[in-house]
Amino acid sequence: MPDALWRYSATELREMIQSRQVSAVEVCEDLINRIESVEGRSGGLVQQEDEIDTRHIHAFIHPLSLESARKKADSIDEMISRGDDPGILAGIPFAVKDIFCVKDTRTTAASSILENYVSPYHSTVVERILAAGGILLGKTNLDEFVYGSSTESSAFKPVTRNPVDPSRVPGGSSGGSAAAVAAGEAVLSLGSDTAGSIRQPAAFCGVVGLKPTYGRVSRWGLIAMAASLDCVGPLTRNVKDCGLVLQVIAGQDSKDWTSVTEPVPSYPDLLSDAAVHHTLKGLKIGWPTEYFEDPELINPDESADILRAIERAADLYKSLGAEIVPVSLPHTSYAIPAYFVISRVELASDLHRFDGVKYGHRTNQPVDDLYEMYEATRTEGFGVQPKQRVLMGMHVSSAGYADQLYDRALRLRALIRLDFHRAFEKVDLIMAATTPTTAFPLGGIFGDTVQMQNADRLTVPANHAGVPAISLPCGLDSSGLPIGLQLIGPDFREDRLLQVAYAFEKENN
Amino acid sequence: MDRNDTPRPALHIDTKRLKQLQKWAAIAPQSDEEDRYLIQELNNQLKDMVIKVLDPNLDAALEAIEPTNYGVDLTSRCAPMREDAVDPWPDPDALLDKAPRVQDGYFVVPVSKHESL
Repeated sequence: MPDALWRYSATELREMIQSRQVSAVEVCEDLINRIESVEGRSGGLVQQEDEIDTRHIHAFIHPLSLESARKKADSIDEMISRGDDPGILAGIPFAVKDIFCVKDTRTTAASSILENYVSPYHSTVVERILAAGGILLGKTNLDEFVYGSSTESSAFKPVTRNPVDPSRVPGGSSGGSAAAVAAGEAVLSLGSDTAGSIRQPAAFCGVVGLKPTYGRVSRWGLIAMAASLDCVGPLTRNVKDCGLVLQVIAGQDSKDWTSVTEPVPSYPDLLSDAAVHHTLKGLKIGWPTEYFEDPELINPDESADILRAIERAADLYKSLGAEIVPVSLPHTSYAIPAYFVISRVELASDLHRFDGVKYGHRTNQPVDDLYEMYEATRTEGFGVQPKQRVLMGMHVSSAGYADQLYDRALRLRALIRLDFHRAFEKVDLIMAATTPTTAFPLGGIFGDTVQMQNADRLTVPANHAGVPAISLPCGLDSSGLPIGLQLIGPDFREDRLLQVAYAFEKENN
Repeated sequence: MDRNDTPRPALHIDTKRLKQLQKWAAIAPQSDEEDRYLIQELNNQLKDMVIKVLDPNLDAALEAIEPTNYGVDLTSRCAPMREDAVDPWPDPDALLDKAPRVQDGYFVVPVSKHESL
């Protein structure tokens, strides 16, 4: 049996398991051993950090699903020995951000208001991965209700640390999912991306993260943050794995009206060397000048290493036959301001459901009436970041504000969408940095809500436009921290994104 | 849409406004320190970010475009809406089991005081 199975990709493990070179049980046990050696204490509601915690990853929220994982691995091996089809992710250990409902499993959104909530159903994406033979190891930590870009606002501590440098944040809000994959604690994971929450942590931790087109993947069973922007996607070790997971989770779902009927290509089959070589020849890749020159978006001194890495990626694509074409996305600097308004209005509405009536925490304080119960429950259950976002949502959607702020923000979203539409009349896809900085130190900007939100300024435009975008590793900065290359494509052209990303990954190996 | 005569909304939150928002949101003030933090951060968001949505340089472009609920046009790509019919959950007890208090198949809540009917 090969050593250190946790180092292998899903694509490799899949072949090894199905050819019986290794068993699903052996893979599962190796991952569990890896978790035991690097995870430390998984997140819990009242845990205080100790010095020893600073040396571990803490990607997961306790408890893990290890016994059910072992049983599932055993059943996969039995299926293979019987000659049955165990599914295309058979025996692959995975993790999911704790924002997805998993039946009979605690689903907290990293908030104490859902500390003891056990979901009675599976989210569609989890159901699909389980049906494809995936083995769930556990739920990963995140910013409370996904409100953040560092995973520091989780109510569950110790805080997740970046496996590349544990003094740094893993990014967020899918920080636990990115850290688990980067640390070898899961072969792949699921995240959600409302403003960059898959791509930014993928960039910070040196893994691949894909935000599919809005509607490509069902959101059923995802606890909503801003429903018009939320997207579900994979975090993986490499681009082929990303295509493999997308193949499983994409496609229409009758439980989510916004999931589209668009056919799902066989993504893994499109990632042959010949197909990728053919795609790159004559491909026009857009170089959005604002992402590289607008002082509101990028500081050339602060981002020097990142800009050099993206320029090197452009040179590599040119050497493979692509043409780099300057394009303009003139409203990019308005993307975060518009996001501030739209997301706060939507989340203030979404969070009204947490009221101590149907599920989750209810106050134990004596109360005189229903309103007092609501107020005490929500005050006890929400952390400070959800509170400030709900309050901003109430402010900008109230009489006298909604007509101007919310309506203008929705029109700004249409303008940003139009920018991309015009660019894609000239080019096949767009390349840029995923983030303006590499992973920042833990505690570096936590609490400064403007600076934290600004960390998403290069990722959020794709959420407004609804278009797909992928982040993949493209080198290290002078401190040895990963840099993310972002590729953005037209609607439902994840196939092209994956092919172009795969070409870079293969050549840049 | 004629917005030229519409006054720009005030982009500042003071203690009085914070209390009003907290009342609407059913979130009680907890400590002076937390309220000071909330006022500081909400005002930073308004003056550093939200104000850009009101940039007058955008007026002409915004007048010329319709607001969108989604970036992607979903209308031609989604399955027809299902029939508007009751589709009961197979195990209602499993759902009620998640509630803090239930009785005889109903959620139990404190009395709601009606100020008017």
